[in-house]
Amino acid sequence: MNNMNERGQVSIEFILVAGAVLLIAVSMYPFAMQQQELNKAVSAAREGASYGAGLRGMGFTPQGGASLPGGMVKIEGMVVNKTGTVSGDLEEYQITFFVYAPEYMQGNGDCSSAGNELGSTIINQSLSYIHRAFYGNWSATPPGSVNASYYYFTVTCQYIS
Amino acid sequence: MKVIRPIRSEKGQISLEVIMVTGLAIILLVSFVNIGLQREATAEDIGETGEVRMLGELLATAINNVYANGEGFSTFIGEDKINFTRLGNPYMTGVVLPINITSGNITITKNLSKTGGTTAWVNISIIPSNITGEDPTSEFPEITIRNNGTYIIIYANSTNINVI
Repeated sequence: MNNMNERGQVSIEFILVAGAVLLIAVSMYPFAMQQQELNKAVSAAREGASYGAGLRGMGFTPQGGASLPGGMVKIEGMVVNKTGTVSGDLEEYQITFFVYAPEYMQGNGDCSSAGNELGSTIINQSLSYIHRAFYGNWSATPPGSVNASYYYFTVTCQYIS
Repeated sequence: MKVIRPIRSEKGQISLEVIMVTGLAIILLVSFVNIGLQREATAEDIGETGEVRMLGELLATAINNVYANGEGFSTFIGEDKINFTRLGNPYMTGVVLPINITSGNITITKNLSKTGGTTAWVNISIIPSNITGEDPTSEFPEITIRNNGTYIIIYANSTNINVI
């Protein structure tokens, strides 16, 4: 049988541990939210870019764009860079996609330039998906960047051979 | 017989642990479901665009075959292969009907509202340039493609296939 002095021992220990865990959770919360925001954007961007690449690969032309013959388009990789640019309270994160595409689809070869059909489709789709991930709806026109709570996101791309 | 009861401080201990573990499990599950649903929507739409492309290729192959086989040759594409009700439904394949056929090209437009866009179109090349469209008849039901020696005639409702 337990001694009177030991009654409530487990409850107190539990409260102490739970308190410590709660303290850690609360202090980590802002960092966790920032990381979650970044993860959400990267995941949505990747998905949008794959969709854009798939559309162009199958020979589809989005409304307002110019026609390109279909071909094998692949998102080979992506990097996310903190550019150091700050707009208001938001820091810029730039997502860059590395795109494999046949030369006849690369246009002027500068994936990020406004007139580059394949690059524009990939970037626009990617930004539309990021916008949807944060706002829950599709942007009426492709956004140039997407503002979230801690960061704002821009997208570029580069062709690789 | 002596009954051993749990001491007061351990009461509700298991209930609390169950609540915490269940809560954690729910958070994980919801995160995975969210990711899964988003992926599914994109995969579905990519599949539909592929379906639209294949539809175009099917029509192009049929037209080219009829052209290559010469005068008097015809082919029939049944509803089991091209179902316009299903194709035109924006929640299914989302093809914007009619499908336009011009000399040298089949143009199919797909509704992209599910993935934030408006529409996208695809051109599929065909060999013949002398193409005309006619309403389907009992002899030549929708969709029959026939070579009369001068023209490739496509028998289809103009709301489904429009030969320009």
